[in-house]
Amino acid sequence: MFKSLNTAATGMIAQQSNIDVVANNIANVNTAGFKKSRAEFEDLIYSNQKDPGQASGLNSITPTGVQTGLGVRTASIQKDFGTGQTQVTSNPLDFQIEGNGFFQVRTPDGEIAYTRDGAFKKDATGKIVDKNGNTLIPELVIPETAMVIEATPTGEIRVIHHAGAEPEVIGQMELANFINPAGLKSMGKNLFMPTAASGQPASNRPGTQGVGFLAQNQLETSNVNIVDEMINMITAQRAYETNSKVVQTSDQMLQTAVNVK
Amino acid sequence: MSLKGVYTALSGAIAQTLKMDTIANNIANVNTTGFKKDQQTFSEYLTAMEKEQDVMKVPRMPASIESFYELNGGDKAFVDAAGTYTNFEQGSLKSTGGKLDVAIEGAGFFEVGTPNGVKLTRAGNFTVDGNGQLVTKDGYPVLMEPAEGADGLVAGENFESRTVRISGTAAINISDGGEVFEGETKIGKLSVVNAANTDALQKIGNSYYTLKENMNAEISSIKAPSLKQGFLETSNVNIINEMTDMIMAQRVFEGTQKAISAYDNMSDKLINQVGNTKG
Repeated sequence: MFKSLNTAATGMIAQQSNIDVVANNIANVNTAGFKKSRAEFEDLIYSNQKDPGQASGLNSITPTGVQTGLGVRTASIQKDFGTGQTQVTSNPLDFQIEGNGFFQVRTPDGEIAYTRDGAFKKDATGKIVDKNGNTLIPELVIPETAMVIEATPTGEIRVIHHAGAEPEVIGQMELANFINPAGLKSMGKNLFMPTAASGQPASNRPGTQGVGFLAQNQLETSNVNIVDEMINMITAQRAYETNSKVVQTSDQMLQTAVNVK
Repeated sequence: MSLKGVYTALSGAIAQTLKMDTIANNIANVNTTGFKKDQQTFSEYLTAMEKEQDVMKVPRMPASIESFYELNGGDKAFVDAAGTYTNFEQGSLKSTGGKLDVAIEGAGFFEVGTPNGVKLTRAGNFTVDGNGQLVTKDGYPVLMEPAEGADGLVAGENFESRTVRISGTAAINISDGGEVFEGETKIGKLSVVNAANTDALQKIGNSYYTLKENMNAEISSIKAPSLKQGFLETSNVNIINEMTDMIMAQRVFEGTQKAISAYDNMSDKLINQVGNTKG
C-alpha cells in the first residue's frame, strides 16, 4: 500500500495539534499571566530503498540513495515566557513581575506551585491568597487595622495603620526562578509545577539574581498576540488542507491501480 | 506477441508511487522548522540490446519482423528510481522573538552531540534543560566551536567540553557571528559547519543529518556565520510546486495504468478472438 497515505495522515495529525495549541492560546487571550505555547515539528525516520554509497560498478558508487521520508511528528509544545503587557488596576494586591520569576503558592495538597498571575486577594484571616485560595509563600498576613498596603520594587510589603503613621513592615515577598522555565508543566488555573527539565527553583528577593522587580497595582496580561495566532491558524489550516489533498490523490491512485483489471 | 512491455509500464507505476511518497513527506513537513525538501530523480535503465544498431536497407529488402528491432531494446527499458536529492535551498525566516531561536542565513549547520556521535541540523529552535545546557528539542546538547587549534569536527570525538552552559541569571544574547552572551559574559561561540558536498549528507529524521559512509562531505568550520537570533528558518517546501508535482505524478501513474490495460486488452483479443476458430 502507498506510504504516502500514512505520511499525509501524520501531517494532518501534526497540523491538528498545531490548531489545538493556537486555539488554547486564543482562548486565553485575556487570562492574566498566561504564557502562549507553540507547536514544534520534526521529520520522522526515512525508509531507504537504496543505500547511498552502494557500489554501482567496478570503481564507482551511487552518489545518492533513494530515501523516502515517512512523515512528521510534534516534537514539542514550547512555552514562550515573553513578558505580557501591563494592565494598571487599583487593587493594592495586584502585582506584576517585571522580568523573570514566579510567585510561589501552596496548593491544598501541600505542594508548592508557581504562577505569573499576580492577582492576589485576602482571605477571612487577612492572609494573602490567589483567586483559588492557595496561600502565597512566604505567608503574609495583612492586619485588620491596615489602611494602606504598599509594596516596594524589591518586594518589601508594608502597611500603614492610620494617617500620618510610619509604615510597618509585615514581610518580604520572594520570587522563584528556574534555569529553564519552558520545562515547567502547566497545571491549569494559571499554575506551573517544576519538572526534571525545568531545574530546581531558586527563591530570591525581587530584583536580585536575575529575578525581576515587583510592581504594585499592575497585572501582567497574557502574552498572546492575536495577529500572530491568526497567521499560525491560517498556516495550520492550509497545511491541513494540503495534506488532505495528498490523501485524496493517493486514494485516487489506488483506485486507478484497482481499476486496471 | 509478447507481453514484456507490461513490465516497463509497471516500473513506471512503481517509480511514480515513490515520487508520490516523497511529495507526501514534503507536504507533511511544510511547517517543520529547518526542513529541506526531497526530490526524486529517475533514470532509464536499458537491458542489453538484442541487436546492434544498423542502417535499414529499406529499398533492397522487404520489411520483415527484424525491421522492428530498431527499438534496440527500448521496449525493455525500465524506469529506475535513481536517487533522492535533498534540496538545501534557504527557507524563509520567521520572526518568533524567542531568545533561544536561531536561524542560519546561508549555508551551514549546527553541530549537535547525540549518543550516536555528532549530527548536523538546520533547526535552531533550541531550549535549555534542567542543568542549564543549551539543547535541541530532543535534549541533545548544541555544540560550541572546539578549542583553538583542535580540528575535531563532526567525527565522533568527545563533545562534553563543547556544550553551552547557562546559569539562568541574565538574558541570553546570540550575536550574528554565533557568540553566546549571558548578560555581559561571553560563554562561547556556537559551532556552524559547512558541508561543501551536500550530497554526502543523509537525513536520519528528527531534523538531523548524518554523513554518508564512503563519501567525503568536505566539512569545514564557518568562522563568520550569519545567524539571526529570534528567528526560525521555515521549511523550504513550496506548496504550489508540490501540488503541481503531485498532479503530474498522479496523471503519469494513471497513464501507466492505461498502458497496462492496453496490454491486457491486446492479450484478451489475442487469446479470445484470434484464437477463436469457430468464427
